[in-house]
Amino acid sequence: MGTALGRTFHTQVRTFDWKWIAIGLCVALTVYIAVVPLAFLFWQSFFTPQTASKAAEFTLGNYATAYGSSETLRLFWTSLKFAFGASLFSFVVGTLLAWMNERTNTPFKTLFFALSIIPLIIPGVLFTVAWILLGSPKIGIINLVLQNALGLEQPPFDVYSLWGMIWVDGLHYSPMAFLLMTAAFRAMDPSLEESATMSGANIFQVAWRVTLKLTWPAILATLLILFVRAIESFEVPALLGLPVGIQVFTSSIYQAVHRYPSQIGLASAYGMTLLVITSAGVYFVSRLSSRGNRYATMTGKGFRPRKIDLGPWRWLAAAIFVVYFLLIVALPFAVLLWSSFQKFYSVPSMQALQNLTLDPYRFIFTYPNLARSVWNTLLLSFGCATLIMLVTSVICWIVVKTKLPGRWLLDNVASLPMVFPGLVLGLAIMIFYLNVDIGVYGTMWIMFIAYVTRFMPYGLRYNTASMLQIHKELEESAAMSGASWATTFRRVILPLLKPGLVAGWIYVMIVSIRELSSSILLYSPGTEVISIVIWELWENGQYVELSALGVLFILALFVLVLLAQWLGKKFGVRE
Amino acid sequence: MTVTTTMRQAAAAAALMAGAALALAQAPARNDEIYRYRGVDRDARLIERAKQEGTVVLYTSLAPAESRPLAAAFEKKHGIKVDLWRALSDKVLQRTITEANGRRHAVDVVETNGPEMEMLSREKLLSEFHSPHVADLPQNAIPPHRLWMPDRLNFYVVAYNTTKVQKSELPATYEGFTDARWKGRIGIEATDAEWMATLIKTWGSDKGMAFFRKLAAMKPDVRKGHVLLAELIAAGEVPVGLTVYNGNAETLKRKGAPIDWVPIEPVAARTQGVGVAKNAPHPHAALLFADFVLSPEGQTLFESMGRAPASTRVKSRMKAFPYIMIDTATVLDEADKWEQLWDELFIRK
Repeated sequence: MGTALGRTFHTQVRTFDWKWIAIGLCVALTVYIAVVPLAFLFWQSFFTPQTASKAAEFTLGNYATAYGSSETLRLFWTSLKFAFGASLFSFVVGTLLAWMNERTNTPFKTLFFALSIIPLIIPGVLFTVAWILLGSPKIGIINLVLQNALGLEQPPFDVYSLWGMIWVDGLHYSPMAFLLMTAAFRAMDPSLEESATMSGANIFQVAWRVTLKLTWPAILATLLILFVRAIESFEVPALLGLPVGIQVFTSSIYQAVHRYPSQIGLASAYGMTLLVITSAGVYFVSRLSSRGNRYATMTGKGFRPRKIDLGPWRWLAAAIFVVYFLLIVALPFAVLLWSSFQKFYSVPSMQALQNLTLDPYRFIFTYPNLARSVWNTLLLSFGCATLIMLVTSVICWIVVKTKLPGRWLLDNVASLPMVFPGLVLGLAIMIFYLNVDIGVYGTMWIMFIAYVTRFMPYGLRYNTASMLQIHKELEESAAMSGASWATTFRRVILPLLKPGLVAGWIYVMIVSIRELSSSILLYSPGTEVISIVIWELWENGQYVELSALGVLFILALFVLVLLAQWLGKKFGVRE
Repeated sequence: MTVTTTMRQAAAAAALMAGAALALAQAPARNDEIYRYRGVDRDARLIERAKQEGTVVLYTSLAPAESRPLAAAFEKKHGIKVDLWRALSDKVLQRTITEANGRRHAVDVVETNGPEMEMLSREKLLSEFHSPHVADLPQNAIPPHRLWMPDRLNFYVVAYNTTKVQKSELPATYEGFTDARWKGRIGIEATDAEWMATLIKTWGSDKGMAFFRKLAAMKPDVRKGHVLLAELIAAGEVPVGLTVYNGNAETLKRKGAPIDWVPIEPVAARTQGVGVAKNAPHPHAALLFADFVLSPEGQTLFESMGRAPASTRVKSRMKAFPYIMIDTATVLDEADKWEQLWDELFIRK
């Protein structure tokens, strides 16, 4: 194995090879994109804010303020509990769905794939408010119905609690786990599962002892990214935690930025904790995955993924899907649908039924600049998803498949932008490109750069989930047969990586359509995106119009996902 | 005249694009001259030159439902295009400051909350301007440095869900809400420390602190965002809100939602303001726009959209009650103190 790598990396150096250009470009781009805001924020964390009356001064005060109080520790502890709960919950839900979808013959799977992604499509504020309307002790529909039906004194659910927050946030991001684990499962050789079944193991033993064990690095990587994302989430804690006094770490970051003068240094100092946690996590995962090919099951031996026959159990699996969708996807969607036909939100009743109207939809379709916003959004999200997935596939190949020294650092650098909340990252990018004028400020390009920076870490994880499962012998045989690196990459690696590529592409596409926190600072007249429209409606209190837009959003993306799936199948290597 | 204007435009464009230091150093002085001109031909000259500039760039936190009609009315009247950038007040502040630090002078006029206007003044990004309509503004709302002018008012009022609470039930004073029967039925917004500060200053420290301690003991529902608070009142989730902006409640009420509002004394008024950028690339258009916003025409437009105009010449139901102006500059100076108290009382439970 080592010799094979040696061949890839040393013998070809003698003759000039275009692959170095491609690899070099990808590495340079990744490092540039990630290091610019990181270095800037790190630098800022040692300075006081600059104002007209007082210049910035070097200080260690930001760290003293951030970590010198017991308050920070208390908030951090709440954040840890919340992030741990939410990430574990989304992981369990997402993985179960992914397993049923990928490894079993549950009926109607194709449809379920698209349905599983719906929570991700619904904008965060909308999803959270939908759950307030469902699970609030005062007006929550679920509570009202259950109280009436069972004659309960107390409402059974309270969405304003740590558990409520974990539930809502966990559900909202379960599609991320679903997509990541889908990629991991799809790239797994089922022959091992088959042997286990032949040796008399039942379905659950196979799933537990073989399937999950083999996807162990992907599981850890998924948990890591879910955890970091949950710890920097803001909407759910602000809407559900605040009313009952549950505050998290990120609220300190936001408070720091919103003070006058804006304390970017303090916000960065807070962010450094997340940076350390993420670095440790990335290091641990990469150590695990660098232990040779223990987890690579996709080898040259007639690889053909086959589904486990659940037998009669498959109907139970289908039933679980149906229940999941009714409870988790359909309910918030129904709330949106209901409010999108109202003049203002009211609890469903016969009287409210008479007030049904199409006004919110009319309003949306005549919204100024709507077409331009949609076009800008599509352009940005399509370009961003495509670039990220292609570049990170090369990065991921370097990290997973080569023995280059410092490759762990590359992985880490590319993963770090995700620790900073979008607002802080957006601000860093804005300040940088105002001072280093390369003509991107005020154009779509600066938003493109911001999106790529924010979502590159996610793209990388998706690719890694698949890459870990591909055995080196496949590219080695291609190289032996005389294929160049470019040919091998294009004809062997990329097709084998397809599950991760497609899942990551869908994910990045969806989240970049929704991206608001950095867009809001960076857009200019003429480069509006659809998330600005969402935010405007929300800030205007036009909840019903926002619901209408949400419904349209879900329908459009649903079609998009089905299309992507169909394309994936059509141009795929398998099936 | 045309030649000089063209040259000025060229200079402004050069400053904008290249950030040329020389042009920049000259721009504020020249803009100041334009902003303060008081000659008899002021209006005619302003309109003519503004039209030559052709565009005005506006950064505002005014909701699109109101900023769009305002921009459209201005475009219709003068044929000058309004490039509208809208975001929350803190983003308006951040963008304006950051762009100025990066020597990118894109903005002409800023229209946002009083405290943020005050911060922009302290960052020396605004210029004093003369407008014939300033005489119509409430003089106690004009900051002493006159770097921005109040154009709208927002009032902290009590809003309630009309199906859950009868108007006759509502107490006549804020103290009434510390009665046990309001427990679990009242809500406040998460960032209203300035409201508390104004009430305590009005009542005196003893009475004021006693009230807010009692209110904190009621454990009011704390919600983030004034719009959300108003929405949740209309939906019945929060039966009564104590710190609702009357503009937000009015918007929902006009749509037919079961919400109404009453001013309970002392009513604290927040100013929103308008100011012209010191380094505006289109100084004439900037001033003309500020003129328009403060004119009876612009102020009447605000009134028709359910916003309280600042001008004393325009009457409005939205401000037909006694109120106290929040002292923006003092609030800003004492922000740390009040926010800490607010946090202790209402946020950390």
